[in-house]
Amino acid sequence: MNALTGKVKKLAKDNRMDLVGVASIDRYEHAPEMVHPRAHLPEANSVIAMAIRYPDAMFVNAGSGDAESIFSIENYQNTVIGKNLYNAALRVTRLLEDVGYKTVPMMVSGRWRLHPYKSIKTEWCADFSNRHAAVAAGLGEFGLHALCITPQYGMRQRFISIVTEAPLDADPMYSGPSLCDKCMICFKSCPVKAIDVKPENLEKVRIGDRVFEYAKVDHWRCGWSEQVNNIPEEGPAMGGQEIGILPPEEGTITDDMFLSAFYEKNKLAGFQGQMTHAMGNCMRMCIPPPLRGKQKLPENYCRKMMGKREFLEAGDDKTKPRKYKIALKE
Amino acid sequence: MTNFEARGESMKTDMAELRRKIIKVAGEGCMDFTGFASVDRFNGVHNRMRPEAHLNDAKCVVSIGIRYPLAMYENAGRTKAESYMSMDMYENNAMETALLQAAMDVARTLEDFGFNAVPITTKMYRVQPYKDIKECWTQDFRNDVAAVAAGHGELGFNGVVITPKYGTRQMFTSVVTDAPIDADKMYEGPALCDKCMKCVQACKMNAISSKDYDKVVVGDKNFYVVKKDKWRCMWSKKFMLNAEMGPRLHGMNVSVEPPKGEIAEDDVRKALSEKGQKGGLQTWYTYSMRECERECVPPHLRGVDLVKKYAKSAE
Repeated sequence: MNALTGKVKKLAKDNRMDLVGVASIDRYEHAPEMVHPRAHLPEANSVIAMAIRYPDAMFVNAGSGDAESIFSIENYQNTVIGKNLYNAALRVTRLLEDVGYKTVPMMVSGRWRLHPYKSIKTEWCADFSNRHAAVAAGLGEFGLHALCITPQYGMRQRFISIVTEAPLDADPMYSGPSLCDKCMICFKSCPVKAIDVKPENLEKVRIGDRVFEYAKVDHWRCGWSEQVNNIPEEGPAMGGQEIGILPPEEGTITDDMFLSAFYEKNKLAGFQGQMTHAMGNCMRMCIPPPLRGKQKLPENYCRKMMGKREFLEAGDDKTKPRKYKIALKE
Repeated sequence: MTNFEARGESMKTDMAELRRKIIKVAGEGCMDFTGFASVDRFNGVHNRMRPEAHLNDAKCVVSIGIRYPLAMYENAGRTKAESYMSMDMYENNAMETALLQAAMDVARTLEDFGFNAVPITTKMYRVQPYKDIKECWTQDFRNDVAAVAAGHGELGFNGVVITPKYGTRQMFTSVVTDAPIDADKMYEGPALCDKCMKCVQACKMNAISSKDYDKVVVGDKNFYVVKKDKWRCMWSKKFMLNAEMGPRLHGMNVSVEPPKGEIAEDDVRKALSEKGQKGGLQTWYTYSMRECERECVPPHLRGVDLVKKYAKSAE
């Protein structure tokens, strides 16, 4: 390892990063032009991927036990974990700048172009993919749900990346035992049916000399729960939000439909509707084969509660959202 | 009364040691600038924004600053990614956090030495005039004046702090204290603004004009800065109602023209509603660049690659 690569990794670890890896730019040969590292920094030679783990018992126990609460995971995920990632990325960027290499830190997932834009054909597309960078840097591989699974923590970490001109030593890509055996728990656990596993719809991506295949994810459906908390079973119910709105069973979700459902939910759920959190059930329930028996499986509270829906609308028109209530009082 | 006096304790403080400690603490918190200003240099500032308005016995202001990741700042929206996402998240999250954390650590250091300290925030405004403050969009403290008073640089014609090291590529905050720390000299080098008017040309909102300016007094120096129509500036900077200044690159194409003449709060409300209706969910995820700042490069830094200029050995 060259000295600068060692310094970068030490600095990242000193700033609470649990995983650090480096991808060489050639692994991005097949990346789409507008999300390529060189789209951010034409002089880019390396990408640094870093991750911080979730406190494991917090991840597992969120929503379970007598507390029935996801307050901690909300605040740690959205505040502390994010701030730690940004702090480490900022410090690594400054180190590389200080020794004369142009460097652009990328963001933690949280901003998107919601619609296709020029050569970008996908929806809800960030300007750079931290999960692809993590795979390219050898931190793990894709699961069927299109997220990066690591051999150390499975799904229980968040990623950030840094694009740099520095010619750092690349880490080998992950080549250990498969981290996804297509157990389908992600597909079965998703309450908004956002994961499309039909063989003809699977997405293929080439990184370095490896080809990965993963499900097509409908991000409007995913965001319906994850971003605006319209599905109480994925977390908001733990805060006392009883009102839910299902996305349409058929057809596409439009901006108007998405926003109307969000405002309607907030109106019906009252103030509580604005103080909730949803955590992707696909992410919670996924434990990769090498970690089964080592990582504790969280309770599938989402599935348990789905049987307690009391629909407030007939739902004859499957192209429209459908309001319902969860029976929380027992 | 200092913390130590309040507790009935006495302590002979080594002020040079305190100064060194503050510089060290700020440096560990990623600060590129740490300077000290005496309160008399705030002579041109409104009474409610002076150091003494925050701490009765204020004697010194510590001004700290952090540079933007330089390639990020230059490339945002200009490279093939056509994106401001990193700029948005680092400016509003990572750098802001680093700045406030460092101010907090400096304040704690001063308290540990027995002095009172009030850390100042950034980006909070009184939107409307307040009591004897006649202007709108005012902050409760002038971090820009503090940076100049502490010797970091000068106020440019665009009203933004320009430093000899990074130009406009940094953010500042301040800590007001009753510790009598020796002040740094104010900047005395070559002028950092030659009134090139790039800032005026870059403002797509016509919020600034080369003809109308204010005098800002800092200590014994006078700076002439453009008179800014703050509602017109905020129309783009804060409310992101001009798609050309950044939002368009994230796919949010809706621009709303401000009215001619004075802008009222109600005009902004109506414009935001129109933007929300036409722009949909994407209006939640946009950013507006302040080109008056980015286009501003002081004479001696024009054409200079700052990363290469300041590179140290990797060893």
